[in-house]
Amino acid sequence: MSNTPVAVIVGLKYCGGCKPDYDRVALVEEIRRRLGDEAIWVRADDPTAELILAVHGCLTACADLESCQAKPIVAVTGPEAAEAFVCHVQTLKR
Amino acid sequence: MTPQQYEESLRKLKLEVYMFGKRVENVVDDPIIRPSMNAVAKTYEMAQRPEYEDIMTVKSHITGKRINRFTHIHQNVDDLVKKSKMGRLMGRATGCCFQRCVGMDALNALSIVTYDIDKAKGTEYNQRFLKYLAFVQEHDLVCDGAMTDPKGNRALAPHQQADPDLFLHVVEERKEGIVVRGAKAHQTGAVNSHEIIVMPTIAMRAEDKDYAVSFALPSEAKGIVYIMGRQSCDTRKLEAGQLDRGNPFFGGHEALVVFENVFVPWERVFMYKEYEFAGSLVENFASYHRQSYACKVGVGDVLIGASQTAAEYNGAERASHVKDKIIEMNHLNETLYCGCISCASEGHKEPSGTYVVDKLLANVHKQNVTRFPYEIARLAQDIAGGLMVTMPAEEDFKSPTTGKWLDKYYAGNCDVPTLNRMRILRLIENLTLGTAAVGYLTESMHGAGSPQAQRIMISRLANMAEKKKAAKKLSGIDE
Repeated sequence: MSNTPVAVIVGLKYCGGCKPDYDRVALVEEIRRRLGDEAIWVRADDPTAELILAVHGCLTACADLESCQAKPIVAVTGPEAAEAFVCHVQTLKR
Repeated sequence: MTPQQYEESLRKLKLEVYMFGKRVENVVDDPIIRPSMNAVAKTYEMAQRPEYEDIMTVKSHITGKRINRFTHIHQNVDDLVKKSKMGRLMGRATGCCFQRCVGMDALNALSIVTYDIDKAKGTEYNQRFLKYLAFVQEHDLVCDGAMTDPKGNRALAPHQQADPDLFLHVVEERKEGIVVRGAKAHQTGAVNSHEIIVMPTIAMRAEDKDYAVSFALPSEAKGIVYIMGRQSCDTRKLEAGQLDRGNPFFGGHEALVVFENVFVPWERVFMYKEYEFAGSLVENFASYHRQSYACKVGVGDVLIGASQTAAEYNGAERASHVKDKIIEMNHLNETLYCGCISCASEGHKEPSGTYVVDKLLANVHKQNVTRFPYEIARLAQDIAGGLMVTMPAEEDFKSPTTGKWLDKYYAGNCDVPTLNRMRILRLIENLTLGTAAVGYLTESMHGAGSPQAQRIMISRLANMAEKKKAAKKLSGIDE
């Protein structure tokens, strides 16, 4: 049996981006780069998602998460949250 | 629909379009028109991207399918708020009028009024309309919402005009449908549209019943002719260079749309001589459309960003008066945003189930839009400096003879290439007195009704009795 940790399947959900305070797509790219093959990325409504990353452009945090309520949701509203999310996923893997 | 599919769908249309005295044979690739097509195509592109889908798409209340929000009927307050947010988002993405809100507003107004006519008259307009709506949503179509008649002598009612065609009207009734004649002026995005939805332009009385007509037609229907409007600096789009256009990617357009004895089948008729509902259709459409001027907030974002960039390129960004002008621009722009969000947040449900904005707040918002973009534009020109209107052409910058002097003498902040300084100034020129000023300034003044139209509505809708009651109570008056 392999001891290699299994990648976490992350469902990605953005808010609509009407007046974002930062570049949401660039932030997600940075998180993806940091996690590498430790995470598999799918749409938020994908039933295989184990965890939802909700990327809000501002503190209004209005992304529609109605279809994701059964899954754990981690919301980020700025770049400072990226590190915490990366650590969270790495913790889940262990 | 993808942007590519949208473009291909336009290529299949056989529109009769005229510009500069000649027929335009290839509308999609015409260099004057093309940027406006790009702006509409952007509404399709943004809807395909996950980072915008929450605003740009929504679940249809009639099919349950995911659709472009521009074809949606608002089902709750959140839909209305997201419509305002979509306007800002698209305005910022294109820096111009993206032309698709007017059709959305026509659809929503008709969803309310066709229901109301049916309830009062026992007609079947709402069923027809819902069938049409399903068609629009299924094919993700662009609809031109056509309300503004030429109107002739403003002191006269439609039936009193010397030329009866100055308001679009019914000229013949047949077993299969009706024949209409007239025109609609200032039609934004008309030649980028698959469909035209026609509505009356004012409240009407019994004598005007032939003018109380609403219908939808394919934009290529026989007898419909488009005559393109000019825009300031429009022929810069015919020049080889890109820089002098200011915004080389996107733009808007307007056209006079002539209906020369056009046949409309009954299944596409949504109002036929029910003159007593013409005013309600106008009022609902106008209220939605006054909310739609949320787009100017997005264009304002672009202009404020351009002004700050120009200040930095000029080395003037730390001057206190420049900082204060940027603050004022943001204050005005965000005040506009407050208006379009508040009229949406205070929306309510109509008997048809459609949600409509708070009409008083929508009119207040649009009244602000008739003013604030002008002040924002004035401040942008103040910050930009006179070079914005005195700088030579792109060709002079590229010329081996003059280029070296222009590069030398028009340099600002030495960390910034001179051409970039010119680019941002051309964008400010474009937005404040070039092609985009049509949308950002004059359309802000007259689009969705001129300022006086909003003042009349504010006068009608403000609850003066309650205000007087509050004042009398606090001053001890007991009547």
